[in-house]
Amino acid sequence: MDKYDVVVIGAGNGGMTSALGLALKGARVLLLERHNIPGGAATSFVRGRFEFEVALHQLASLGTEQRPGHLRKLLTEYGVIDNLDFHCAKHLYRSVIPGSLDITLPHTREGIVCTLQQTFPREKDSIARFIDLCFNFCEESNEGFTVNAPDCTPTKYPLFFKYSLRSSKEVLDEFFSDELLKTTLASFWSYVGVPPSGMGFSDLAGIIWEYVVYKPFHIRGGSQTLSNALIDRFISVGGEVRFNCGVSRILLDNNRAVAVVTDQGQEICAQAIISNVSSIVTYVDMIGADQLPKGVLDSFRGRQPGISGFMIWTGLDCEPADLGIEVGTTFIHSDTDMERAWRATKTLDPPLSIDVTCHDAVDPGFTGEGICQVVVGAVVYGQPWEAVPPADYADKKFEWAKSMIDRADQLYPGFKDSIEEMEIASPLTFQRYMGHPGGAIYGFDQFIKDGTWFCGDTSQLSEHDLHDLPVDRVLRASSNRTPINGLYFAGSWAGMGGFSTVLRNGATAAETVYSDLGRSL
Amino acid sequence: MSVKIEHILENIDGYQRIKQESASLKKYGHDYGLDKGRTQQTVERIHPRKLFLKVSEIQKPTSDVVTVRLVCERGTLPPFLAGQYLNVEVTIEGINTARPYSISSPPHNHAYVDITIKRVPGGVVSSHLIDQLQVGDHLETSGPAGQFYYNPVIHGKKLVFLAGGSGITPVMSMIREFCDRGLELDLYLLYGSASPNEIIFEDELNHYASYHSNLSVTHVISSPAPGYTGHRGFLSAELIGKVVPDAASAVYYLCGPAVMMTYCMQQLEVLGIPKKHIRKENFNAYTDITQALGWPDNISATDHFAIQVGDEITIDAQAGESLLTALERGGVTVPSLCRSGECSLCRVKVDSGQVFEAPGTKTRKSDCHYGYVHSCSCYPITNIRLGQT
Repeated sequence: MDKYDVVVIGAGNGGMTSALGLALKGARVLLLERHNIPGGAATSFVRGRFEFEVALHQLASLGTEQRPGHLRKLLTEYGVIDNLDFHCAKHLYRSVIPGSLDITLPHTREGIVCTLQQTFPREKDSIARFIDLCFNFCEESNEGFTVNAPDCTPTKYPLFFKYSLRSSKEVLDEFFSDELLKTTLASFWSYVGVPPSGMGFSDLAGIIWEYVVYKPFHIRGGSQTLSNALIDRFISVGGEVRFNCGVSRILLDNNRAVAVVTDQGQEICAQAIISNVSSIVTYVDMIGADQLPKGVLDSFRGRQPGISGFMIWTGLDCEPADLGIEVGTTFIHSDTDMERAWRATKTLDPPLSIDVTCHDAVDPGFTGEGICQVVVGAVVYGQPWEAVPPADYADKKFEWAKSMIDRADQLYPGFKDSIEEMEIASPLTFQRYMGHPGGAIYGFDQFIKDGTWFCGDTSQLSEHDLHDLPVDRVLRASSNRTPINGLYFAGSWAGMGGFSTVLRNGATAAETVYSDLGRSL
Repeated sequence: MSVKIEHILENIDGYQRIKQESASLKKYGHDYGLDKGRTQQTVERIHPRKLFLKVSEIQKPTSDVVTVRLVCERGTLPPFLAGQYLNVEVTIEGINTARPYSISSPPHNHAYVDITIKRVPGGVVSSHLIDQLQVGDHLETSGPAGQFYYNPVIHGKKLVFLAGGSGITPVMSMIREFCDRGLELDLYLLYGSASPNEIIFEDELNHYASYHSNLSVTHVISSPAPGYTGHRGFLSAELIGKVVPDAASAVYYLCGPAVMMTYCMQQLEVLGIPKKHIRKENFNAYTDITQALGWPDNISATDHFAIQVGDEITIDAQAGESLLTALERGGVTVPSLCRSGECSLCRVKVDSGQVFEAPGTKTRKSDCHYGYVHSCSCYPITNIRLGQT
């Protein structure tokens, strides 16, 4: 029987960084991936003369060499940064309500304030105060706040204690009266998948702060380039990877995960098992509810698989400029009612808020000379799609695609007529490839109550964990652990979704496993 | 929860309220223990990983063609789009391999699927299926796959099918669907065959054409006997222009042997049809890879090379056979689907040695950079060592 220090199930972003992190520390790591290619969502596919980026929109937390974000530091530490080429987007996004709003936010703090003030002069002061709040709040919570700080109190961190659990809607309503302005600022709700009323202000402020400080980036060649670089590095430091090798079961012995059983029936032992699979599927399908310690599933009772997506990848026989596409990301809303737009994501009606991503607008030549790719997408829940009769499935997909393509075509006339290749993914497509319940793309729902503060398991935290770490970091580490010894999670289900977050989550899982196994390696 | 952290959190505005919300959601929440297998089952309704089928009927419309009717042994047939294919698994002389065959029955028929197989000269699998398959036999296939289908969002209302030989099969599925469902589309089929008795589905096509004024069927015979009165030759720009009014405004669907595809692409260029209005399905893309553009002069199809897989397996391969075929012969399991270089399922890593990649293989840019190839469309031209797969 094969024996490894660590077996990692799934080569998604979290699986790849956890496997590489441990291999770099000298652990004997086996990475198992049921697909033929690494990356999970961080992948691409080819249709005709187009290689389509599957998932990456705007890479956060990278930063520049002068001011590196945590992702750049991680990729540098992991020895892959030199194999990657990044392009910085000059804009955060263009936000449009046809007929009433059309505004493009640049990627600098001054630029954002200035643009907003020009468009909404009556709320000039509030705009400056709001952006100040976003920055001061983030600096307090991201950079200053540590659990062991002697005076970790509301006096020292007033914004942190006041705003951490406020919703985005509450804070936007507190500052502004113009609904168009609120819509502009809340446009990122679809990157989190919850409406402004349910999305933490900390998330909204965090995204704006991240993208302004560390800038939005695109990866030359797409996210598959990153996945291939991570795997190449993993193999070169002695890691072992098997593609086309799914895991059907995890074996427990006396509340310790001891082995995995592959789809081919092979049993592989390990001291630690890291699951980059949805926690629900890991517990219920791979271990079995009857095998679990009491109470494990109860910790999920109040949680729901999060939002999925409906995406249309289009390959165009023209360049973005030919259609007037100048920014990488465009949000198109039907009106200012973001709450209604979110409610619509739980129905089979075509989405009200859609986004249009064009990597070529940021990185000319991304797709090829004289051509480009545009992804029209929306976040929507998977549940309604599960009820579509199989015989109606294709027609429903085309119906949605038509509605969304037509709206993008209204804003960018000529878009539809330039489409050479098209591929459509529904929530069921995401469920198929990611294996996530509901086709969730960011793990569980990310309402305020779903934050690590309410869901992480901190009971096993050691003094070492607590020592001098930002509270956020401590809680992140806690989400990788499980009540089962030797079993860990890496990925969106053990925290938040999104590229940089999940890549970091995997790295944190590696550190946690290493600190637990430490001497026995 | 660590006391220290709890103490800090309690001081945050709203913490108690959300903690209570969280607690009551937990109380009335969902028991995920009941969901065993649910995620996969939901997907399987649309995209089963595998179909378990039984042969219910075999028809031989011509001497080298069979239409095999398949019914489901387990579960129900999944939905598919007219034009898609199934990858049929076979074991011949102990070797596991598979071939994709287009579905010729229409998608609104949920009782069975038909695949139509034409004998490929020297083709082991097609001959095996044509000669050996019997009613009652079991077949395992992939789920429906492929990108050769009508997209109502962008493909307009005027469709021209240029089919050659068995390339009629996916087109047949489309014509059956569009006619049976009464879709408002203008359909033009130009169907090339070597001789009149090799036309597949001739009666049915003519029948459809006589009952549906929106379907025009034109048979073209490449080498007819003297005295043949119909269209002869190939699917030329001239003929297309004659048959299809305002030919520049149509979307074209090409399916057939490589020679025909190349010819038709040239003809469409003459007609000024842009790439975006041309859909292609390659059948038997390369029966002889050494004829492909760029094949090295100094290597012949029968040259032998060693393929090293891991430490234990060495396979004696020929330059003229794909890496995938060699691996299957050597007993190495590599998943495959389209076998024409497009889907990437048979992706493997070449650690050392060189392969010839068939023109048109759709490899990701970063896969090229890191040495990954699509084994169905790569041919060894030196000894090869494969990496971790």
